[in-house]
Amino acid sequence: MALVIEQHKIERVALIDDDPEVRASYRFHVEDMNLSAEEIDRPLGDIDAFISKMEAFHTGVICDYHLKSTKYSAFDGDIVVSHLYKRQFPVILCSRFDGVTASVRGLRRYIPYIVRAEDLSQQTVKEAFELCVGEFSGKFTPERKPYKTVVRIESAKSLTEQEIVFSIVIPAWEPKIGIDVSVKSAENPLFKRLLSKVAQGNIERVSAQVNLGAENLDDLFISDWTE
Amino acid sequence: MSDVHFRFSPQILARLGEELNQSVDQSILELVKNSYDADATSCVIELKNTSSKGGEIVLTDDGNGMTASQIRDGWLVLGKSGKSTLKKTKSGRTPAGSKGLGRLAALRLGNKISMLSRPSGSFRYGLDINWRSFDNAATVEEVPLTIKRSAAGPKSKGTQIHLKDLHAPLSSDDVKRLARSLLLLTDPFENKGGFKVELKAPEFADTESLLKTKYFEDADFHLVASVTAKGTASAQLLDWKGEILAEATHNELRQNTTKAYKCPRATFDLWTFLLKGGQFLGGRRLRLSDVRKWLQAFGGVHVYQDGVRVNPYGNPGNDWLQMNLARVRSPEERPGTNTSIGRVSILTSRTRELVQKTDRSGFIEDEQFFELMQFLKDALEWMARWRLQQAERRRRAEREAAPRVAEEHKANIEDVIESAPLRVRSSLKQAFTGYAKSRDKEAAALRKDIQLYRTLATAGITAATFAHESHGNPIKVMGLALSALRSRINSHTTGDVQSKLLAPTNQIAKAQAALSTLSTATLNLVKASKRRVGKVDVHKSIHDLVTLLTPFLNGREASVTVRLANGGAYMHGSEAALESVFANILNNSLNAFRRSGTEKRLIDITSAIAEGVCEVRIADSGPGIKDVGVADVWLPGVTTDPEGTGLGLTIVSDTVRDLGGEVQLLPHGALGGAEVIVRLPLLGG
Repeated sequence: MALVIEQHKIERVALIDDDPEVRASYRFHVEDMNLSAEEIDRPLGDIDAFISKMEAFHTGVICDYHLKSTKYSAFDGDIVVSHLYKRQFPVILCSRFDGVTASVRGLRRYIPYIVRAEDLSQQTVKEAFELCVGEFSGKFTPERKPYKTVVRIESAKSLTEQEIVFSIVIPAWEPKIGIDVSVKSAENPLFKRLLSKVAQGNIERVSAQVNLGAENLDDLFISDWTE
Repeated sequence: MSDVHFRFSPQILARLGEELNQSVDQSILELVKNSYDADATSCVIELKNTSSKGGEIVLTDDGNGMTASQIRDGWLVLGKSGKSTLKKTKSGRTPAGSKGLGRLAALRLGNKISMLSRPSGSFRYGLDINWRSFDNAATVEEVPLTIKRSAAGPKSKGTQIHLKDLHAPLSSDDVKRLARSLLLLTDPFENKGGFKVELKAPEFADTESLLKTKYFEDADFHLVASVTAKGTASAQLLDWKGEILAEATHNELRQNTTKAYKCPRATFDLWTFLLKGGQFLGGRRLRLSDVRKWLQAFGGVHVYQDGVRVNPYGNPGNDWLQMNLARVRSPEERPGTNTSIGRVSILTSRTRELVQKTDRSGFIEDEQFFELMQFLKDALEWMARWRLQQAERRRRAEREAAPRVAEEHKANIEDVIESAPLRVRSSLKQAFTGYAKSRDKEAAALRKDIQLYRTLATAGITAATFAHESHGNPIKVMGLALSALRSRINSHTTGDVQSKLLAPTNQIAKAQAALSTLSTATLNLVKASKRRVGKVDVHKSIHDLVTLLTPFLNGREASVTVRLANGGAYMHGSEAALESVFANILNNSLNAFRRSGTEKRLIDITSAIAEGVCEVRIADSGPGIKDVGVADVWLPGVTTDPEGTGLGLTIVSDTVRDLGGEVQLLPHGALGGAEVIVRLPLLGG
């Protein structure tokens, strides 16, 4: 059997988690939908090679956020999911904790659906895949529709050589809430310039794509930063 | 028409001169850099009547001077830089000026300019500019300028620039800034001669004498770090005698990576002063206030590119390495711009070069610049790590030595008492014994408190670790399996059988949810972001906490009503601090219900805002405060609960005080039980 959403036919779902018991538990739900489930039990290896492998052999993915507790993976699930989404691959991120971290927020544009493990069901899996496929063809829900808006950067710190955390305010979304968002400095040369300016005590304003209809902080994304 | 070309309105002079460039001191500095590039050994700047409008500035150097063609094709051409940083001047200097825009800014300070230059040979060349003659011209090129040649006298080479009829007066602060900039222009950290700048103004003499008094040798620590052209770094930390305290290899600085720094060759010196009275003066020759004054004037990390200072790094208020921020976050053992002075010397090569921005506001921030900053920050981090390790060792030694020292002091006092006159000896002995006993008692109580805090901290850390583990996979597997089980029961069974299977499944699901909440709550309390100090909303903190604790409150059958004043109640503090206050108060209420077996378990939380203060009242329906004085409940270890720690209200009181507020306890409040009143100062109040 297969789940057909628009032109996407989802029939082989890869289950990614560093714990075999969790992978086996994901299987219940996928098999109950009459889809084929395959647990990824080998270490994931290099991200690009892994993504290519997923594309070649699977049509959907359910992936846990925390993958680095053991040698199973050198990266977390947010990286896997965002990479696959960018290649128009239906994905679901499972997270065990409440609250989205700053690093996930930086990629949230490409992580449309985060579900807590206990909420995973046939219905949520279907909903998540439908959401992904809809977005691939430009159909966004009001909560996920991106708008170009002003982002005010109030402070910044360099976490590692490649990672910067900005504390920002999005006046058009909620002018009183400070938001931490983590970005990879290599992805946009603007990030290092902003870090330097903010470090000198300036408050900077840039434009970015933000889903202004997001109902809470965990669903908010900030992408495509421009001056 | 084929013979057309761009032409420039005279307004471009104002755009590029006045508007693009910076302050007066930086503009004049550009003229001084021209003297430096002309291999001058002396440059004298004279200020005449500059405290009011219309004054004059005269700059005279003994450099190579310019011929008519050099003036025409170089000095008068704006935006063109004939200076390559790789091509050195005859005396081996790397050119400091560029583009000619800084020179324009200086020349635009006055309405009229006279320039007289004497190159080698028997002629000198003069040029007069009157900016007013540009006012009515359509383009810059339309205003004719004439270079006048005249026979030179016996006077030696050099150039004099006379800025007349200044647009604006120079304030005393402008002159002080100019004096500082001139003195720091060429590396004053070492006594290298070759280029002397003199400013004829009293402010200069003061600043110069302050700069001449160097305290480098008295720094408590001297960090010396360098990075080679290949990007390999190393560092040493020296004490005030110049002896090596610690050394770091590239990997240690990089924290275990071998990756090279992709930046130009550079050396970094940072002299750090402890500036603590007792520690600083020990055995050394200077006064603390002198060093403070000196650091205030010249402190910060200055940058020299090929021997010439790059503005604005190290200027007052320019903390480009974020040293003060790091010091605020972790004040112990870290230098700030007021407690240290530093120099970064950058040497340009063919492959590595930092390029300065056109408006002279520092380097273009490209990868090489960030790599250099990373090297400097890594060196600072390494020094901070080493100093923290030393501080920890010192504290341990002090802790171990403290009882022995106390015994020695005690013996000393007893000796002194023995030598006192007989008539007072016995009363002195008695008084001292009483004092010693109370001190011992206090020390014992403090030791007990510390032990209790340590035990609680360990319990907290362990709980958080277990929460991570349990909230991870076992609980997750239970949740996934339960929802699959429920779904299968629903699709494969009907009627009675379905109800019978669902009933125990739902029970397990409920228990799983409770376990999940327990670990979520624990993890939420220890989130690092909650300890960040900033603007926090008291109301939001209360709402979030009550939501977080709801499963526990339900478990104890306690009902909480929250009635808060309208709007946010913003104050300066951390979420963790507010959570400590309210969580401990709620915990006390829950424990009171449990101990007394209260039937109707109510907690009422209200708030009111008046005169910049948020007053939060937390009242419960428990038994209230009995068997212990109200004043004593804040003391550590005081409790009527045999299983309690007696620390909850101590933490409440300490935290509220740290937040600048106050706390009060009513033994029997609005609901009959205890009522805690917390008053917190709001921002803007």
